Amino acid sequence: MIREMLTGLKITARYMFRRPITNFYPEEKPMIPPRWRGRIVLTSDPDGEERCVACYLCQAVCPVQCIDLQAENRPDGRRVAKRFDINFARCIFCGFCEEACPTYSIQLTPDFEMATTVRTDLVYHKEDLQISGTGKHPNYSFWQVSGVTIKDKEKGEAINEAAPSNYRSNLP
Amino acid sequence: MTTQKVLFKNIDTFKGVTPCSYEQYVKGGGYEGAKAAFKKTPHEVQQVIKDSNLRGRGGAGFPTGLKWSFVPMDNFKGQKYLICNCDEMEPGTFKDRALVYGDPHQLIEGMLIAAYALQMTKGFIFIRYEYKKGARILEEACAEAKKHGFLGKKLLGTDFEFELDVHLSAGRYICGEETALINSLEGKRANPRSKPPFPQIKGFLGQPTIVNNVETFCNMPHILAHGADWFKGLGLNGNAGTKIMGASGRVKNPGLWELPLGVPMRDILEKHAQGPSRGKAFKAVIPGGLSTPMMTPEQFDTPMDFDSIAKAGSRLGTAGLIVFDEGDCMVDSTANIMKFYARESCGFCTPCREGIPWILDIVRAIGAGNGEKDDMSILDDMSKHIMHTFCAFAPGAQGPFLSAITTFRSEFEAFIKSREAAAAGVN
Amino acid sequence: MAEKIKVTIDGTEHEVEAGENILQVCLDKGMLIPHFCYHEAMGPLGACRLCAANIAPAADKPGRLEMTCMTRASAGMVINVNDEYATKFRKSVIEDLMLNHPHDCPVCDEGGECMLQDMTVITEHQHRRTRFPKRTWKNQYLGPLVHHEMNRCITCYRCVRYYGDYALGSDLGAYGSRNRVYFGRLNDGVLESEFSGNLIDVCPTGVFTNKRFREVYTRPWDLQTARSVCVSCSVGCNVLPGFRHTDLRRIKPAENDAVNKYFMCDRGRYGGEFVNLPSRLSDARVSGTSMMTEDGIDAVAAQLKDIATKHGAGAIAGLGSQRASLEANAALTAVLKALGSDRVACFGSQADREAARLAASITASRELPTPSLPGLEKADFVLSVGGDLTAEAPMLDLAIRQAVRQKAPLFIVSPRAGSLDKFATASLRTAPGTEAGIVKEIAAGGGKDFVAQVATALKSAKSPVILCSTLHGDAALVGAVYQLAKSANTADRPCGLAYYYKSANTAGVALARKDESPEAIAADAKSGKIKALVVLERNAAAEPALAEAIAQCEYVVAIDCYENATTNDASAVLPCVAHYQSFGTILNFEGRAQHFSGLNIPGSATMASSEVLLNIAERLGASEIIQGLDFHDVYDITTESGKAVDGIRTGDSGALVKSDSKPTAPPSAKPASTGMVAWHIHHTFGSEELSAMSPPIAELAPAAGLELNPEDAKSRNLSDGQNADLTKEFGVSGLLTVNAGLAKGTLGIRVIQTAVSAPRKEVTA
Repeated sequence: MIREMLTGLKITARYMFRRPITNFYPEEKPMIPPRWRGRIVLTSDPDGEERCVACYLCQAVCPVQCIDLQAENRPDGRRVAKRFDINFARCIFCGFCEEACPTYSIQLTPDFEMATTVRTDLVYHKEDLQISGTGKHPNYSFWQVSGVTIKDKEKGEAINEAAPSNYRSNLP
Repeated sequence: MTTQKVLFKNIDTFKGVTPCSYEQYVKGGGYEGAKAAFKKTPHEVQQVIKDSNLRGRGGAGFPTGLKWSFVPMDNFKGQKYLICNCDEMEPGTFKDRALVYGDPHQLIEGMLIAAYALQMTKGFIFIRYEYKKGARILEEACAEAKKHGFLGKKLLGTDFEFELDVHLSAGRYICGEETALINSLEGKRANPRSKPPFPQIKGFLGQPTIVNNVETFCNMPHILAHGADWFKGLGLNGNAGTKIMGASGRVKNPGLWELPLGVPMRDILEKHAQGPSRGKAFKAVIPGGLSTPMMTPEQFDTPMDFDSIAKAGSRLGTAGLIVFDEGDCMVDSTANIMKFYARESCGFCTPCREGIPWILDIVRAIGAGNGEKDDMSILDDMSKHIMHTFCAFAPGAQGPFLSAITTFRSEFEAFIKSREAAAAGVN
Repeated sequence: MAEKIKVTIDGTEHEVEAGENILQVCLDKGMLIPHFCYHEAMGPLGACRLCAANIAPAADKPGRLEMTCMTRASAGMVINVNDEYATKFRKSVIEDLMLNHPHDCPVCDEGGECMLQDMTVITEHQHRRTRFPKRTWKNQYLGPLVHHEMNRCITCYRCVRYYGDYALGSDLGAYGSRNRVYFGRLNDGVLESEFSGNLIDVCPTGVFTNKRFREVYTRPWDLQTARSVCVSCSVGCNVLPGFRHTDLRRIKPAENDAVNKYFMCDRGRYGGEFVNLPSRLSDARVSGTSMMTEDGIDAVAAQLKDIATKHGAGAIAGLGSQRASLEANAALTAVLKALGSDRVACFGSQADREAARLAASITASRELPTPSLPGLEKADFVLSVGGDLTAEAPMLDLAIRQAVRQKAPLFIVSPRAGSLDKFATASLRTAPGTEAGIVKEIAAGGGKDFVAQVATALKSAKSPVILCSTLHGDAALVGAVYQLAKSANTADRPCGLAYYYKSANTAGVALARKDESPEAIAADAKSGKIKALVVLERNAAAEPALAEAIAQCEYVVAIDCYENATTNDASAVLPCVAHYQSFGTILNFEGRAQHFSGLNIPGSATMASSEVLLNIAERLGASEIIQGLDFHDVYDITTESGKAVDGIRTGDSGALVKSDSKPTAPPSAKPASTGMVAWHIHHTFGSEELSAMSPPIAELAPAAGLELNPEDAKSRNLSDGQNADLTKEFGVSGLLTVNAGLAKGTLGIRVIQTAVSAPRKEVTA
């Protein structure tokens, strides 16, 4: 018992006379690893269109239920989020949403400086979340592998698709 | 060995054949079988067929007498139907064409006998679209038979009546399957039906129906005219009757010959087909139309009959040999075979509809030098799984396919390896 | 009852009926064997090959791979679902199906309730080994209800089996062969069947999806659902309305083996969008001032009390509702009782009232068996009299199609040909009012042609069923049909008799203790004897018999869920929640009391109409009248205080009510009129009040107008497509359609509710 206490005190004594290590944040920015799980963004396709297809999987997987969205169909055939809200006051930055996202749209970034004095400002809307870059997966475009028709991509024009068959023909 | 010509009595040669006229047919003893049959009771006629050991000539070799015995007879009041299956689409098989084009009355007489034996008053000849000339020949022959009192009402001095219609189908391999044929005849999609109930109990329009092959019917007049024992004496090694056998592919003289059941395969290949066509040794033979497993030269002495071929691991089928020689690439040949099955699947059940086109894609890729390491294991899996389909179509496809990937596996592997070698930069 | 035998499934012995379907046995016992093409309503097919298991006829015999759906149980059978090879085979079938399946799940509307997803997970297929291009298809336009996305098809044939074989539709088929089988119409176009929405439920993947749900899509796991009963007709199909945020997003059938089994009609499925209308009421409005519901209730109670003291008890009357619950109608009586009045009218006209009350009393007497939908399917003789089943009670039509499939003869006596007529053995077109005479001829026996044919078929049938419409206010016909069924009913051969009604709870209010003719109330309101009208969930201002009364009455209280002509006219409007958010009990056509429940969602009213009325009664100080009534739940309608209708015994939800009173003597048939008779033509889409407001139903509804038989049109010098002015003869005018399927001497008036088509809007919670 005495020995354990002395061991502890010894460590304390050792550090008492060293120079203190202080990071002068915010003047000095810390080095954040690129895979840090910070502020969530919605990325874009290589062609610049939004990647999110409003599949609701992030909302389903979110353990604190801080994501809420509503899908809508755009006239060009794409399904997008009409509304996409993330409540960062509730978000625990677990990254499940990024894992669940089938289109690599939702991604966590190394930014953590989101402090604010107004709590409602922590509810980020779609316009706050959407970025124009592709993020971690520069070449992936969901609509080009999906079988759904969108403007400028008819049936059979997606990656590894055969031309549409003709159901009126019985010929080989 | 001299072969007695029975079915081909009125058909001299396959090439340039003209249909045997009614007069000619009668002169050669035609309609004697029908007359003999009508002197017996229907049950007696059935017994003669049963005694003759006649086995279905469509490919499966099911005893005809046994098939007939399931048809309800004495106390049955409703309509029963007799159907002749002339949807001959088996690659390598063209015997029915010869019989229909050459001697239509023989088929009509056979159907008349069967109709009488089973007391069926309505018959159809289901003929494929490509045989539309044959359909016309049959229609003319039917009209003639009607004129001479072999079709229609009050036949041969009895109260029995028999109407026969020729149905020219739109043509699909699967229509050769008897239940799909019945569906097609009813105007439905040509999908096979589940058995039971068998067509003998519930077939065309829900009524008892018998579906037999052209060649099976053609044997009947002769059995009735000459007796069951005479018929049994025609074959070799205890097999009954003759069989029209053919050869196509890499042989010098492709054609059709009427031979006794049980003749060795080598006889056909070397004596009748006169050996390989381009000087290369034979590599493999598919013995009975496409849907039977391949046989290799070591097995060429197998007698051509149902049981011996089955013992050798294949099936007699329609006895139309398809011959490959050493110049044939078995990967390309397999692709060609699978292309046929992928195209002709009716699209009803999954392993056949989706599995066979996948096999085709893989085999084609291998042949084009794009094979991958796992492809052979996929092919092995698929060869097993396409056995569990709704009808016998995919198991039929499995026959030549499985034998090709087992017997000639080294050819497949060589293609895949050469690609890997190319990928590794070694030639 | 079939013989009980023992089979072994995966090492456990189970007792099953001999000949039972092995797959169904396993599913019933909670073992999930993957399957696609098998559907309980349509039976086995054997196409998908997914339900494979190792099956041996006996323990000592070798087993082999068989499809469980195609195998019937026999004694001693050993079924090995978890057999290694069978498991591998099932996985391989899924792999085959996935070869061409598109990468659509994130945007596919089936996701979350997709059978293919489920089966893929069950079989543990994870990695596609294929590298070849996927097959693609072009989609078809199939109308405003069903979306088509053919790439996702796994060719299980369920859609054509349902649409063609089960629902007897002819415009959806399978095209092509090999691995190119296409399911769709020959050409783009609206699906003809009134039951096309079931394709969505039947399809195991996302080929057929709900076009309306798709517009404001949400995943099924996010929907809030409470089991309810459809309000679109008197059949009473059980439904699962799904809400999210402020809106009803979709309606799905809820399985109920005694009623609708697995399916429902398109009117019910797509007709629920009236819940979302922008015109839905959320606040009370008294003399043009908007206020909280509670305050409105106070104001209304005070005003009613005032009128009662000033003008006496007889100055207040109620208009009950055929689409509101028994509870709400009982609460209306309670309010009136608190004010000393007992004047209620639930029907639109005396003729309707007589017909419905007679029919309901005959049904509730249980003298003759009333067939349920599954019972109808097994009928071997069907006679439909007086109406168009497809339009007036669609699911009865689907049940009869099942009987027709089993070769049951179907006879129809009605003034106008409907979509069921093409399956009829024989149908008779006869002018309205003359049907009763024909039914009497059938009952009398003899006769010739049609009558003789029906009589003979009825005589030889083992389980005959007679169906009669009460929507056309022909009490004489109701009585005649009752006499016919009674004469055909014997101890060993029961003859089923079913009447169907206008609205979801017409059968319930038809059994009400207090109900008088609406004409009497209208007359008193016009003469000033009645000073106040309490209108419960009913657009009375649009009803010919009551419109003037509403306009002239001094004080009208309207309780409803959406703005309509009555709420516009009313002095006070109290909001209540729409049916699918409400709770209560309604009686369907067979007199089956069915409870339904609802959800409170933001953006709409908060109280059910029964709660609103009970609150008024409470403010009126009528605590002894409403004693024991639960404001917030369904009542036991058998208790004295909660008694909604007289002389009824019932048990739990789903029980058939039974009345001790004998049916009143049927009125004798009026002599058939010799001139033209007007007849209201009901349509599946657009004729029912609530569903007609739903945008997709409004899109499918035909235009309002008049119809005449070609001969009648010719004699009046009218032609098709012309604007016919028949104001002199009948007081109507409109676009004329000449219809050879209409009986001579009939003026058809198409009943099409003015649809309120407004875009669906999502309101942020």
